[in-house]
Amino acid sequence: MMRISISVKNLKEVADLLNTVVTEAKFKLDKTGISVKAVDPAHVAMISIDLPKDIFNEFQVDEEEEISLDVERLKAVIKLASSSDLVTISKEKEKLKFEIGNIVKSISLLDNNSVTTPRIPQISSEYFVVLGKSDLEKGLRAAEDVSDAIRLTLTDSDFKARSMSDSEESEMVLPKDMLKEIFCKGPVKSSYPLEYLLKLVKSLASADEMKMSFKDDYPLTIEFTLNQGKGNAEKHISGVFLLAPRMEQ
Amino acid sequence: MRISKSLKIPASLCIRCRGTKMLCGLSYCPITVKNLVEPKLKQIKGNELTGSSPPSVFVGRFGYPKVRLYPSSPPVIGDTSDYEDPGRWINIAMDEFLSKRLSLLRGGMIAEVHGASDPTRTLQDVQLMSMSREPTTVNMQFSKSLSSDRSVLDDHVTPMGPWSPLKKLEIEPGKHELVVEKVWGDADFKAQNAMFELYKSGIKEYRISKILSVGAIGVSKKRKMVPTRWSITATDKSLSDQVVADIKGYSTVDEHLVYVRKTSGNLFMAILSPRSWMFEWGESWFPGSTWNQWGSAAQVEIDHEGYYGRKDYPGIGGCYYASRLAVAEALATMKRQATATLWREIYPGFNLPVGVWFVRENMRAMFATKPYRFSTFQDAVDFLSKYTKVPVKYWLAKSGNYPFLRTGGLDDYL
Repeated sequence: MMRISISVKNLKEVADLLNTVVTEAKFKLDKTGISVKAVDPAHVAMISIDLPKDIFNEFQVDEEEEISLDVERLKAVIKLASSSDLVTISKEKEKLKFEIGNIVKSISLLDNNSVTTPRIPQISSEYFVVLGKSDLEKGLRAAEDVSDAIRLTLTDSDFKARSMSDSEESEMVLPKDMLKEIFCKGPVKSSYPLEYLLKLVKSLASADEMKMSFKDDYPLTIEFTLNQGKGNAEKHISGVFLLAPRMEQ
Repeated sequence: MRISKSLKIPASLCIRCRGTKMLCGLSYCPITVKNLVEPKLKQIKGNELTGSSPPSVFVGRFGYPKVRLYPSSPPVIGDTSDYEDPGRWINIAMDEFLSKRLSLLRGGMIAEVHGASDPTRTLQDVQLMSMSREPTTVNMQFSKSLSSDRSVLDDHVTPMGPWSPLKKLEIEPGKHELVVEKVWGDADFKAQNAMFELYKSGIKEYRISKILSVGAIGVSKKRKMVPTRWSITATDKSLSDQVVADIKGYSTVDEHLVYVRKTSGNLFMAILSPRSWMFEWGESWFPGSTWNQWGSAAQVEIDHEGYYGRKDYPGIGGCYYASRLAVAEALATMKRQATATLWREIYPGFNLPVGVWFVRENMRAMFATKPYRFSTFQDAVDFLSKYTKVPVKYWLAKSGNYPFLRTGGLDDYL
């Protein structure tokens, strides 16, 4: 028996986030909630999202199980609803049934074996910055038409995002007082493919801030929580995004 | 022949060269080819031909859906199977290849493509002949004499000889494998599945495309003939789609594997990198090669697909899918997946369109060789730079795989 109910706004955001790296994803369900991990086929980016039981309006999961879905199909179903709606999802044989208002729609599940379970890289850096999503977004957009990579630099007093091509340059500097938190000893810097960061930031509709950790030429970790609005203030949908560095030549 | 007429090679060159030095810059000698083909044409008495068809058939695309269907045969009795088997052509001289192909004489008849859903007796005869596993005797009576001007030279389709309208056709049905009879006889078997069924049973792709082109497979009511040009690429695409789906279940190659093949007027290269399936096919045509007759510099064109494939048709066309089939087969044999970067340089003098088999078979031959192994993509590219005439930075600038391969990748941190 599996029957859950979640706000369309939340589900849409989760689907958009997954879609930044994959088109198929495997969800793990148990009594504590739902989690999903996905790595893009080029193994450059990975996302992991946790949806604890409490963020659901209804949550009935009797046994641990895995459900694999085509994310594009999921998004197509969500498009039928408005963001204030609730969607109730239940599993019937090899199908997932969605009830949104007066509409009932079923999509077929994918074979769990056909969707890869990512291997989780061991990544940790003690240096981090917590900054507003809109600030980061401005810096990324400034770099968008300059290059396909962006170099992030962290010192004990500021955070910089810089892009360069033969003819153009773009840089954003956020001093300590514009950052929520910063921890770093001495400068660290690393470059990342810009496209993935832009897709992530565009998909993070409800997050206000994010924590970014990295060190010299090392994968970037971005931690975020989604805003649940009123109620449910205790529990959040949270996620981690990992991005491999672009080695400079 | 039309080719020699239009080129106007100065006689002084030919007199000094005599078919040995290729002074005209072509990769074959038009005079040698003419001398090889004409005696075969002279064997035809009146407007009638009896020969052993390899088997061979051509379906035109002009006038679609009302097209011309051309059963064909050389004026030769015996084992003619090498007139139709691309696997054997890369080992013979271009002159010999052309003389074989241009002596495949075709009898033409008008046919509506949808006629394959309820074939006439004649069409059924042509279907049975086309499916045969060995040469079969054909007798064709033409309403006009054959004119050697009407040959086929095309970048997708293998060259074929002249044609004349058919007055009468008699064909021996040939011999068929059980699986061929099964897919032909099964009225509910979808064409795509039938193609893969044949492929799995060891029927070569050039035979599958021929069977597809004469409308001998598919759900019976929907059966139709497919112009040869389209059927070749449809077969390469359909078969490679299924092989690619299979290899996605395997783990990746363990290092960057580099393959190189130098052949007349061409350099073929591949790097198979230890990542999930991605694919690119790149061509660089030098000035004076078939498709860059007037340019002043080599042009690099690359088409690319990510893990989930592409939704539009690649600009490069048939060679993209022919090479994709070759690399997918190579990976399936290794039971591995990889990010496949395939490039080809085409040099001046290679200026005859021979058909996509040339790419498929050269790629297959290349993947049958032992690869060079490198631990980084950069090392692999540096190695290839010793072979390429186009600086590798121009290749990399247009590469669809490179932006992914130059990134370290999360796997480095497992």
